[in-house]
Parts: sequence; structure tokens; C-alpha cells
Amino acid sequence: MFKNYIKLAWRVLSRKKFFTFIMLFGISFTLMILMLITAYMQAEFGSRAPMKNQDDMVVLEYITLQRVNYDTIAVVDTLFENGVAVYDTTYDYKSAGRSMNRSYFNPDLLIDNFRDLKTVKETTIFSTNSLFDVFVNNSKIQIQVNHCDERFWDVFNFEFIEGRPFDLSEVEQQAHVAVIAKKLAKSYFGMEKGVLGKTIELDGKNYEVIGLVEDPTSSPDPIITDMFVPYTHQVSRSNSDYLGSFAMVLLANGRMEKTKNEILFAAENISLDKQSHFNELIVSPKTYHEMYAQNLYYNEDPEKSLSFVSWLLFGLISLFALLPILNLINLNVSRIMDRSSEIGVRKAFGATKNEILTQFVFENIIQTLIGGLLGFVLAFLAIYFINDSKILGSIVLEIDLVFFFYSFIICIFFGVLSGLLPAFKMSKLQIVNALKTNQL
Amino acid sequence: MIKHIFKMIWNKRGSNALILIEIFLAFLVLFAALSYVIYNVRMLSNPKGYETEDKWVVYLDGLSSRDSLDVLTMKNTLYRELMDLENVEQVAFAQSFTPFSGNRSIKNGDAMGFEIRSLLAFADKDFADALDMNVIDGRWFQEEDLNGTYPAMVANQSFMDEFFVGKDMIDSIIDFRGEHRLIGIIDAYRYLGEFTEDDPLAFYQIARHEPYADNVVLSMRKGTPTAYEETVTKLVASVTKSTSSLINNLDKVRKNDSRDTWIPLIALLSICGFLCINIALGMFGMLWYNINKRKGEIGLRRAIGAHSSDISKQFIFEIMVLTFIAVGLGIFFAIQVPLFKIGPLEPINMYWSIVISTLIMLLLVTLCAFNPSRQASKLHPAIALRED
Repeated sequence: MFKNYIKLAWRVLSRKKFFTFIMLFGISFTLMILMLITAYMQAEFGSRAPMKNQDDMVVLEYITLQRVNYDTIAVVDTLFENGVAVYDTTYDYKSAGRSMNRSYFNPDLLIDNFRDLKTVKETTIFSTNSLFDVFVNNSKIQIQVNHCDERFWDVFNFEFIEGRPFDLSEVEQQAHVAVIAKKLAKSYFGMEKGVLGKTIELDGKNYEVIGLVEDPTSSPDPIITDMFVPYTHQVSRSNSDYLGSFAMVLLANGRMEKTKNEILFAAENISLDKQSHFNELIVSPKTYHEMYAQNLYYNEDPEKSLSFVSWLLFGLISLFALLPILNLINLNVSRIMDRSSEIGVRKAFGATKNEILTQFVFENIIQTLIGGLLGFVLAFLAIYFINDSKILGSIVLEIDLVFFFYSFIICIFFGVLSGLLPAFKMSKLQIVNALKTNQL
Repeated sequence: MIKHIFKMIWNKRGSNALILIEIFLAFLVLFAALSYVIYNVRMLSNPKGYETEDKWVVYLDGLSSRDSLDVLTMKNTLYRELMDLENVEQVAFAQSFTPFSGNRSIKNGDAMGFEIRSLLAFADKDFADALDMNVIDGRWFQEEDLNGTYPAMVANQSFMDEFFVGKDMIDSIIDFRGEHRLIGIIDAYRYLGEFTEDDPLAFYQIARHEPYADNVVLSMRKGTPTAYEETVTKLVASVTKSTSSLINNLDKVRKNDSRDTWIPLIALLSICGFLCINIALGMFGMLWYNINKRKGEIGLRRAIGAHSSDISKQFIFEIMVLTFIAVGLGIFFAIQVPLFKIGPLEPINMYWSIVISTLIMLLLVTLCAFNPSRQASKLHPAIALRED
């Protein structure tokens, strides 16, 4: 029976070329874009190395020190009571001006206060804002250096092509060792392997390469740097007891909410004695997804940022998908009338309503699958183009099983949704009406 | 006529409702996307306030930890030696608020009796010249200003528009971060990026030798090759005795920086373009089909004396009425956003977006309806009637 349906679907497709073109065009482009979005989401949030732990990550990015000057403000209001002026004075105790300073953290502050929390299994600190100009063969390479501790390699699971990460003793002894990313090996040494033991000179110091890692395929700041060295090399790391250039990533071993609260509680206990100019210290722990959303749409409360961005994204994507579906439904509704005589005959020979319904939905699914196949080819080409031109920076889109799975689901969903209404309408058709108007 | 058209629409309310929803949703998507696009295009068309071509910035490192006298002599030597380079035309020193540096400083103050909230920037007397900034009123800092009774400040036009509307403040004292004499107004200084708002901003003068003036702006001769960066870096390294300085070509940084906005913009525009084509094709196919199915009706009307233009007018009118209802509904919902100031964009962008989306929708529908209805009007009554 299904073989017959497939045959029929093919016949219908090849009968009216123009409509087939319209339909396939709509389906394939829509599915292509949905597939690209899926690939992007997969790259950014698909828990690929080195971001495998991203769902447990709580990030401490900025510390805000502020001085709020409180003042008693008297407001005098003149009221008339029985024709006599009465003065009503209200006092309001509120903030009258503030000055604040927002920055990354001092590393010692992070280690002293947030390293040994109960709900946290691992923490790492790092600073990514060191850039160095290096000239190789008359061309400039700008090297972004990540100063991190040895635990960085446990929190982020980099794939080592060769060599090893640095360890605690090397961090403590300020050893001149470095782990470099493949892209730096390519641009600096001109090779993708066998760079262990070579040295890179930064700021007059020679760093020995002890490890080579695969380039990450997503975009978070700490992992896309070119070179990783022990954080004890960061010279400007302690210009204040609170501010500095470091951020911290904590891996929660339970619920994120608990960890966040514990961090906030720990932050409350930090004394501000060493910096009497300020009277308030604010940290804002956020999850990886919240941080991502905050970069797109800034709100002081990271949770609000996340909900705003996700609702906006959800709304736009569903609107975007809904339109082609509606378009398809509209087309199908008008086209399916063409086949009323066929349905009339089938019904006259005893086909049930459900059978007709199945046939049309099935036909539609076949059509969307063909469109989906075309869309897949288009998406494949687009992904190749996007990766090749590096439009998305460090993000590399990949086609994997999960991607296939999601794409297939999208296709089926699309097919059922756009075929159901017209098919339902058709299946309700009365035999007499179906047979009456049209010649066979 | 209108009544008749409404009747025709009502008779086919089922499929017409679907068309209506489609136009309505397409309008909303267009509205949202175009608001964002219009916002960015308007940002881009505003003056940046400085040039980036052949402008380089060298970031010096670790000056604050050095002896101040040492920094003073070093800075003077650096200035002299850089100026001696044949490709360097102007050298200026500034604190870290150079274009695209990503740093910013904001200050609130109410010393003048009202709240002033402004971005701050600090630069020396050569800065405006080095970046080709436009001083539209008064003048930029000079050497003597450092010894004046009041220290000097320069504000941007947006600062004046926001806090001193319609007042000639040149040579007046403004009490913001202490009392300063306003000596000039620049048109803009959007140093955070090409697509950012031109927020109120005040420039304060700093001397070249201050340790925190660690950004060196170089105006290069036209067409200086990138390889020349190495010469500059070597010179800086030999004068500062440190190799940790950085050099950036502002034009390259600008292109990199604006890519972050251009890519989503282009992606959004192409998605919208595709949606429009998709909807137009679908609409065209549907109308063509529906009109073909109404051959009987057309034949009858022609037979009792309707002109062919009447026929096409009727079909175009029908779809137009439908479009107006859908777009009207769309405008009703869309206009709530700017009216209630929801979302991060300024209302003017959304009003423009509504106007343009409406025009696009009308154009699209007219284009789709034109061909099928003309075909219908060309039908010969005899042929049209034979069908049924």
C-alpha cells in the first residue's frame, strides 16, 4: 500500500512542475535555515570538547565595588486644610549618588573565597586579556594568552594532540611552559605537529611548548585563546586587593541554584577593609547559558537576560517556521481540490476517512522529505561555506548524528503539520459532491 | 462594489482566514527584522567623529609601575623619535579610551543642580589632529590650557543636546568632575564601535607625560604598508625597554568589530528576503489556482457585460482588502511596542519599520495578484462558461 502512495506522490509532484517548484523551494530553504540554526546550537551548546562540562558551569566574571552615599532628604509640601496652609515634611532616606568600579577579579580574592565551596567540585581561574604582537617572517601574529591555573585542564576538557598540560608545581614555580592551540602552531611554526620542546618568545621570556591542543569549535572566551601559560606569569595581577584581570569558572556538583546562593553568601563575607573608599561589593554568579544571553542582551540580572533572549529566539524561530508552513497549507488546500474526483472514486469503492487521511499526510511527508533532502544538501553547502570563510570566528559547524536526528524530526514535523489540514478537509468530502463537478 | 467584495471574501472565509494569518505573520516578522536593520543602518550613517584609515594605536604596558620622571623622559623621547619616522605624520597620547579599545568610563554628577551622566575620555593636545576629529565649535586643547585657571574640557554635540539645550556654553564653566572650562564641541566620538549610540561624552585634557596616557595614536602617511608595524614596534620596544607593547591598525580593528554586527544583519536580511520570495510564490500559486477555479463566475460576469478590466479589478480588490485587514491588524500589534517603549530600540526605528514593512507587503501582494487576475480577465466568456 505504501508503495502505491509513494508512486502517487511522485506522480503528483511531476504533474504540475511550477507548483512542485514553489513547494520544494519553500520547504528546502526553510529546512536549510532550521538545520543551520540546529548546527549552530549544536556547536555552541552541544557539550563538545572542551566545553563538555558546560551544563555544570557557574561563571564569576565581574566584581563591582561601589560607594553609595546615603542621605536624608527632606521634602516640604504645602497643604491647605480648611483654608489654612499646613506644612507637611517627609523625610526620605535614600541613595544620593554613587560611584562604582566594575572589573575582573583579583586572583587571590577568588582563590581565598570561592575555591572551597561545599557544592562545587572543581574551580579554575584564568585571565584572557593579555595580547602580544609577534613578528614572524615580516607578518604580524597577535597572540592572545590565557593565564590559567593547573585546574583549568580539569574544568575544560581539551583534546591534546600531543604533550601534556602543566601541573601545580609548574604553576607555583612560574615555569616557562606553555600549551598552545593548533592554529598558533600553524601560524607560528608552520606545522601542525611535532612542536613540543620548541620555544615561543613573549615579552623577553622564552616559553617552552609542552602541549598542543585541538582548536575548539565554539566561541567562549577562555578556550579560544592561542596559548595557555601558568597564571603566576600575569604581572599585573594584583594592582588592587579586589580588582584584577581574572575570572573564575566553578563546576557545580548539584543544583546550580544552590551553588549560586553559596557563592553569594561567600561574597557577603568578604570584608571591604582594605578598600575603605567603597562600601558595597557585588558579584553576580551566572550559568554558562546566562552568560551567553547576557552578551547578546545585557540585563543586570543574568536570569532575565536568558529568559529575554530565549523567548525572543523562540518567538522568531517559530514565527519563521510557521510562515512557510502556513504558505504550504494554503497551497495544499487549494491544490488538493484538484484531486476530489480521485477521492470520490476511492471513497465510492469503500475507502474510509482514515485511509484517505493517511494517504494524504503520507504523500505530504514524502514531499517534505524530498524538500528536506534538498535542504540538507543546501545546508551542507552553506556549512562548508561558513566554515571555510570563518564568518563565525572560531565556531565550526559540524554535521553529526544529532544534527541528522534533529533535521529528520524537523522534516517530519513540517510534513505532518502542513499536510494534516488539507487532508482532513479532503477526507470529509462527500462522495456525491466529489464526483459531481469534475470529469474524471 | 466594496460590499460585494466583502461578501465574496466572507463566502470563502476558511481559506481566506489562512491567507490573512499568513500576511499578518509575515508582516510581524518583517517588522521585527526591519526594526533591527533600520536601527543599525541609522547608527552606521551617523558620523563616527574620527577616521580609522592609516591610523594606528600602540598600547604601552606597565607604565604606572615605573618612576614618573623616567616615564616623562621616555615619553618625550618616544614622541620625538616617532615623529622622526618618515611615515608618521602625527603622534598623540591618550588614556585607554581610544577607538575600539573596549574600555569605557561613565560618571554621574549633579553638582550643577541637575543630573549629568556622561562618558569620559582623556587625551592630549594632538589627539584631535591625529584622528582627524571634527571640532564644530570652539577649538581643541592647546598646551596653554594645562596651566589655565580652570582645566579645559571638550564635549560632544550629544552632551550639549542632552544637558545644555540651546545654550552657547563655549568658554563657560561646567561643573562636572570639578569645574572645567568648556573650550570646544566635537560632532561625535563613537569610540565603542560604529554601531553604537552617540552617547554624551566629555573629553578632558591630560599631559603627554602622564603615566596613564598609555595609548599612542599614530596618524600614518597614506598607504603605509602593514609590514611597517614591525619598524614602529621595534622603535617603541627600544625606547620603552619593554616588548609587551601592542600595535593595532584601527581600520582593521574597525572592520573586525563591525563584522559582529554585519553578519547577523546580512543573515537576517537574507532570511527575510527568502521569506518574502517564498510567500510571494505561494501567494501567486494560490491566487492562480483559485482564480482558475472561478472560471464559471468570470464567464457569467463577462457574458452579462462586465469589461475585462472589471474582472481583474475585482480580483485585485479582493486580495487588497484582505491585505489591508491583515496589515492593519499587524500595525495594531506592532505599534504597541514603540508606544509602550517595550524592548531596547528607540521608537523612531520601529515607526520606520512599520512604514517600510507595510509598503513591502502591499507591493508583494500586488505583484502576486497582478498576473493571475490579468489572465482571468483575458478569458473568453464562451470558454469560461464551457467549463461548468
